[in-house]
Parts: sequence; structure tokens; C-alpha cells
Amino acid sequence: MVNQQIMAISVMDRDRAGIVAEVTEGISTLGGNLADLRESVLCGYFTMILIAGFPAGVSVEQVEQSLAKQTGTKVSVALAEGSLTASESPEHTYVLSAVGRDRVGLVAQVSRFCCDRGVNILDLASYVEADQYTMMLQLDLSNIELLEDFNAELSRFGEASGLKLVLQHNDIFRATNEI
Amino acid sequence: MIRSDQILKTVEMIQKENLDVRAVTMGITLLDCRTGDAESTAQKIEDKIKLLAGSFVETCDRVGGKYGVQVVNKRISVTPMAHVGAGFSREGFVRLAQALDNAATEVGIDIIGGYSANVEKGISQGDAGLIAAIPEALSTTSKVCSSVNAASTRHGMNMDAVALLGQTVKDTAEASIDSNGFGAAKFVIFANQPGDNPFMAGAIHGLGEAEAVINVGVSGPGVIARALERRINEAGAENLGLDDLAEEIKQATFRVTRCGELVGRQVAEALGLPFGVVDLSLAPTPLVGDSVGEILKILGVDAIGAPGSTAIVALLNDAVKKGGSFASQSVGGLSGAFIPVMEDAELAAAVKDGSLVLEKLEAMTCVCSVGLDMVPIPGSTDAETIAAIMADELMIGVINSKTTAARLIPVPGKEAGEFVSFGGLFGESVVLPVRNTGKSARFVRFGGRIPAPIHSLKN
Repeated sequence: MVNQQIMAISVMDRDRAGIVAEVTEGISTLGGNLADLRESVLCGYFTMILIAGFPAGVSVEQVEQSLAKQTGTKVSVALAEGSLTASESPEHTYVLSAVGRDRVGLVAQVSRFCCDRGVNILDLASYVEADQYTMMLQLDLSNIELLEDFNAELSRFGEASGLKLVLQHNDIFRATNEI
Repeated sequence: MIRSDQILKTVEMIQKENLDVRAVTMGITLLDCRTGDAESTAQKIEDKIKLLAGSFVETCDRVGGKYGVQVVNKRISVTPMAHVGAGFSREGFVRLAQALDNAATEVGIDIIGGYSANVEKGISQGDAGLIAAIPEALSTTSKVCSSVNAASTRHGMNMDAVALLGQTVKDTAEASIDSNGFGAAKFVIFANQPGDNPFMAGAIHGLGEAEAVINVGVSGPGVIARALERRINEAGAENLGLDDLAEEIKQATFRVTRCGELVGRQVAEALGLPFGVVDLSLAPTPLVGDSVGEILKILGVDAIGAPGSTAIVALLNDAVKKGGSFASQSVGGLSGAFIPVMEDAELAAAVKDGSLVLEKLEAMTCVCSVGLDMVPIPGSTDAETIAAIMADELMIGVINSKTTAARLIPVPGKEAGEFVSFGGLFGESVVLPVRNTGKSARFVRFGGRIPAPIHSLKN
């Protein structure tokens, strides 16, 4: 599609049937093409973020208003840079799993640890089960020179924060789970 | 995209279920190290191994660290040394063993295999020199492993060799009397020995292999055991058939094999060597929760060795092969479930309480890999009885077109029921009784060859 505009759209609402249908119908009515989409229901609350390309001439406001009307909820739309090609994992993509007793500030601590070392978080999922908090972070370690040093820092951080941390390259999960 | 539950499953497999890569083995050809004398040949062997494997251990550790999967053993296999040292004296062959031991120590690997010969049809001068050197070689080195192939489906069994090797096993154990006959734990007799097996004591770099190659042996009895337990707890034993459990084993093996192949290929790539094979063997360790015997119990026998044990081993062995061969691009080596008595805590316990005996072990090896493995027997067992036990085991391989082997340890000064420990991965057990000792001498003394089996009329 020539001269298309890439927009990032986020939708949040109390969960009910039909939100995805309403949003995506609204997008296709405006000639928008979906590139990537994540949807989750967190504690009964619907959240969705998606990337779509729209023909030149469709404005951010137009998309916002049209989708708000369609869904009856507030929708945020922002222009995004880049193209519609699927984002591939960088070569140094690792998965950090962190497990510990649930308390305030765990994600903040882990993400601050990563940020201070120039490590970008590509993906993050977490859940609580029986007072145990589990986080899975996909990290880009391109800025880390020596994995051994990062691992050593990680193990000190794990001891100090009471988290059990395991860092493994992303490929091991692909190898064990994909055919 | 990988789901978080899949990530956790893999993390759990590695952290809690003892998944590791049991062995990454570098095969190296040494034929070009041969000179006119043992001393300079030994020097060239050391130089070549150091050159090719200098960064091998560090590479395995780095790759293991990257994936969070430990490579437990880094090993080297070499061209069967009978070829390299043919024409040297017994002392010359001992010198070659020292060269292998020195090189192994220098590059920091755990163990080196290939102090080996193939005598399935006849014994050459080189083979005889090597075999004569085995007792001293294995008792004066710490990392060298030896194996001799004495039979094959194509050529039958060389009974002269088997008789000689029965005596060699005994001599090797007695030469290492200070360590309870540990030398014999590094010595194995084969039928249909593969040239690409990464597992010790029988690893060699066969004559049909490339200049150097990386082979991988996976592990994972703990992973299989936990997967089966989970399935049984979730579904209820009354709702599951053995076919369901076989399917569970296949799926767990798939994941185990994928881990091993990924690590092996990365090591090979980093070292600029071709990747050879994944050996699908289910290799236990003496650790609690890393036992093949435990799987037998989960699959329904209350005592290992009870009726049904052979059928269960067959099911397990087949499911491992099916799951593994789908997961891997190239499979080879021994590929099957091992039942090494001393290296498996549950098997050793079954021997201690008398439920598992030598004859039942032999029956179980008909349907799995790799034979009577790490079996401690009384030191008083005569050489001809040892040779006859080996002959029985090897013929199972010859007739069934499979690899079988015997790694028997006649523990000096110990009798049945006494305890022996070699420590580490070699494990511990009580000594197994050998019944009917001294009653096979006439058979062994006939010597000659047992002809190759007919390849039709398969019943």
C-alpha cells in the first residue's frame, strides 16, 4: 500500500463479548489493514493494542472518533513510525523468568535493573498464583558485552530481591516448543 | 510467539527435572598421527588433540550458559587405537594411552574414548597389542576408556576374542585393585559397536567418520518420569492406557532431544566442525529423580525386575526413539534407554533388595540399549564365566541386529551382596550374584567363531 500511515491503537474496557469485532470492523471500514495485535483480559478488564496501516488521508482523529462510536468506549490512537513488516526477534533475544513471593514493586525492580544496563524489554507477561508472582520477560541483550558478567549481576540481584531468576536464549524455547 | 506456559514448562524441565545435555563428544581422527615409533606418535596425538579441542570445554560451557542447559560431560572419542598403534609393542600401546590421558587432562575434558579394537572376525597383531596393554593402560590412566567389538550381525562372534577379553576384564579389575577394580568400569565389550556413539565407555571415532565431528548424547529420565507423573495425576491412572503413556514419553523426548541438538549444533558451529548425530539414549545418573528404574515403577511394576519389566522397557525404548527421531535432523549412536546398574539409583536399589538379578537384566537388554552395563560381580568369578556372560549378551545383539555390550566389573575381594562405590556418575551398588559360575568353561574353550546368523526365516 503506497503512502499508508501506520497507527498504534489501544482499547481498554470492562470485558464483554464483541469488542474485538467492533474495533476490527471499524478499522476495515476505514480501509485499515491490521499488522499486529495483542489482546488480553486482565482481572476481567479487556485490553488490546494493535498496529494497522491506513490509506493516506485518514486522520488519527477520524480513526479515534469512528472506533469510539463503534465500541462506545475511549480509544487511543497514535501515529507510529516504521513499516508493516512483522518485527523479528533480535539475535540476542533472551527470556528471563522471574519467580518470587508477590509484593509491591517487583516488576519495577526488575525493569529498573534491565534499564540501568541498557537492556530493552521486548515482551513482558506476568501472573499471580497462590501468592507467587511469575514474570516472563523477553529481553534484547544486544548491549551486553559478556553474558557471564550479566548473569553474575543477575544472580546478585536475584539474591537481594528474593527472586528466582533464570536467563536463557530465546532459541531454546523455540526448539522445545515448535515443530 | 512462544506462550508463557510453554516458557515455564521448559524452565521447569531444566531446573526441576534434571534436564541437561549428558555429553557433547568431539570425535577426532588420529590416523595421521602415526609415525614409526610409539614415542613420537604419542607426541603427535597430544599435539593434534590440543590443537582441535583446545577451546572445546570453554565453548561447551559458553553455549550451555547461553541456553541455561548444562553440558554435564565434555568428551573426546578417537580413531580406534589398534589402527593407530598397529605394530607397536604392548609398552608402546601403554604409551599411547598415556598420551590420550595427558591430552584429555590438558584440554580439560572429563573422559576420552577410543582405546579400542574391532576383532569381530579375527585378531590382528595391532589388536592383540592393544588388548594386552588394556589392564595396565586403564589402571595407570584416569580418563582413558576402552572398548572392543567382538561380534557383529554380519560376521558372527569371535569366541577366541571373547575368551581373551573375559580374562582381560578380570586382569583389568585386578590391576586396579586399590580402586575396587575401577579400571573395568572403563572397559566395555560390544556387538555391533557404532562409530558415532558419544557415550562412554564405548565411544569411538569410527573409520567411516569425518576428520573431526561433534556428537551429542541427551539425557532426561527425570523429565520423562515427571511428565508421566503429571499426566497420571491429571487424568487419573484409571483413565489412561499404556498407549497414552507412550505418547507422553514421545512428547517429553521430543523436547529433550531438541535441547540436545540445539546445544550440539551451536558447539559445532562455534568450533567450525560438522555436527554428527544426536544419540537418543535415555541415560540415567545416580542422582535421585534421574533414573530409568523410576520410570519402570511409574509405569506399573512395584519392583524392578518383576514380570512386566521387560515389556515396559520395550515400550519406553520405542517411545524414546519415536519422539527423538522426529525431533532430530540426524540420529545415531546407541539411541535407546540405558539400564546401567551402578549409575541408576533405583536399579541399584532393586539389586540390593534382590528383585533385579543378572538374568532379568539380560532379558531386559533384549529390548533396549545397551546391554549389561556397569554390573559389579564377585571378584572371584572366573574368566571363563565372565567370557560366557559376555557371549550371551553379545549374541542377543548379533541375532537381533542391534548393539549390545557388556561392562562387567569383577570387584576384587568382594562377594555378592557387598557394597561398592566408584563415586560421581559411575555410582554405586551392591555386587550382583552370578549363578552357575564355573560351568561354562567347556563352551568357552571351544573357541573359534559363532557363525553369522541367517538373514531370512525370521522367527
